[in-house]
Amino acid sequence: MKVGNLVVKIAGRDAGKRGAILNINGNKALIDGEVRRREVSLSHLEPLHKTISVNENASHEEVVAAFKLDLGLEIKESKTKESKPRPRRVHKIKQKPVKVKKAKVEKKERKVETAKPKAEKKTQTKTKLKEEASAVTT
Amino acid sequence: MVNRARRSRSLRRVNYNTPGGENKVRFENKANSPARCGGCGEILKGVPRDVSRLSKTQKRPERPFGGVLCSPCMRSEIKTRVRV
Repeated sequence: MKVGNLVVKIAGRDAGKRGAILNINGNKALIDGEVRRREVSLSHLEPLHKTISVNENASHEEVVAAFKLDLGLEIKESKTKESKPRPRRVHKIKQKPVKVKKAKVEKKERKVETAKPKAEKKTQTKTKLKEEASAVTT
Repeated sequence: MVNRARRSRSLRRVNYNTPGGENKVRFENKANSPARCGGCGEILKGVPRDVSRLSKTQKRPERPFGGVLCSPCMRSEIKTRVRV
């Protein structure tokens, strides 16, 4: 295996993904590409008998560009989430409603309607009838 | 007479003694059999028997074919696919 050789990782969570060798140090090789950039054992790699034009210890951007140029493969970058502050429960403090004192308004004096007594009404009607009767007789 | 629903042998029978000195039978569900590799049939490591209350990452290894194939079978499977 040489620098620039394409390999497939056959162990771990990156198994089945392609990468390029960037450096070989004894039994270990630095790989990058579809796989995460890391140093792995040579026994965990399966060669593909293809090469891409990358320099030794090339950066991730250079490897991505080489994959696109030589193989026509676009490597999807995993989005890194920005760490947010841990949500904490905030106890709500109920504020007591402030009572607004109303200005005292003087009560209006109610007009007391003096109802006419019913007896008077009756007497009035009786007198009216008597007058009518007398008028008829005359 | 045993309850009609409990006559099935799919339930495990456990004998136990009550505090009053009686011997009774309790019916329990049988334990799950261990997960086995789809290639060689070996018991899979990293797959617990009772996975009901575990998170997804704790139920199987986080690699391709995790919880289906053992790691040597997975490697040979990937090699064969790559070489074709």
